[in-house]
Amino acid sequence: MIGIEADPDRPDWKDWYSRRIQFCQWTIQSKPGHPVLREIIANITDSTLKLKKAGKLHIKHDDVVEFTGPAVWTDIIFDFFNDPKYYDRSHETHDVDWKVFTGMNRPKQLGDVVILPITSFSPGVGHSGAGEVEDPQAFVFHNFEGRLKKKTRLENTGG
Amino acid sequence: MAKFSPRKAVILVFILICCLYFFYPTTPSDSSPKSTTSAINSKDLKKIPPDQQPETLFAESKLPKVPVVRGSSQSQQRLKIDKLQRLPLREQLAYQFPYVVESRFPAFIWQTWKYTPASPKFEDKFRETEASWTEQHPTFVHEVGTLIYLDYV
Repeated sequence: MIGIEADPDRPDWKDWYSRRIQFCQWTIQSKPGHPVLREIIANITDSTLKLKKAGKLHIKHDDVVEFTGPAVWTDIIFDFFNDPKYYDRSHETHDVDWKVFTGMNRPKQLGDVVILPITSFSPGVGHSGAGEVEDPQAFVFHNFEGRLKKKTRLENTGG
Repeated sequence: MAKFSPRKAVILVFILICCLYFFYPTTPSDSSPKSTTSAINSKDLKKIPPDQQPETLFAESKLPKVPVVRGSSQSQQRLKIDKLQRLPLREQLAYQFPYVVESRFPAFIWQTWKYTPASPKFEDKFRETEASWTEQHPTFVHEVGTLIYLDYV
């Protein structure tokens, strides 16, 4: 079970976000061994070892969003949704992409994955149509202490 | 030398039968933790109003719904540790953690953090939110910061 973290419906979304739709990586519910979990672990392990080999592994990483954050998490999930190993895509004409999830306000289920709308794991963020923290769809609230935020990221410091 | 009387034998058998009756499991035991409510189970789903139920999209999942028994086919043979360690990481993970769609959600909430709540370095401002997880999900085991050891930081 995953949630939407951001759905920036604005032409300059690239100035603020890494992906047009971002899945939340601060809350995930899963059963053991899911291929997405396997892939994120292996992917970050590979990236880390590659950086280490190149002598570029530092405690402070410039682009944590891409390294371990919502960008890489989102990419891996979309790869999974479009992988014929896991989904029977023989009758599909279009890839599963951001258009499938943009603006959603009720959960969607794709095979064994339930995707919750933005309010569920990302309430009160002040963008992407997210409901407030009191919304009945809100399940988890991220207080944004700010340790991992990119400086250029659209900030909401309410609450 | 005391005789082992028939009366004593009957009493002993009676005690044994009582022990078996009270202590023998009536359902087959398994190695997984006692089942507790998962975060969303079918009963919870029914409480969700129809317009909030998940909308099922088109693609059919190919993932195994039931466990694949190891050793039942060529590809599922048990692997010795040295062979396992020579496999690429993804295959090692897949072997050690096989995925089954219809398994239970584990009744655990794990949160990564530098410190556990028991540490004096765990900031007070986080205590209320940390406690909220256990309050909202009392049947889950809630662990914070226990999976990561950052002594070198």
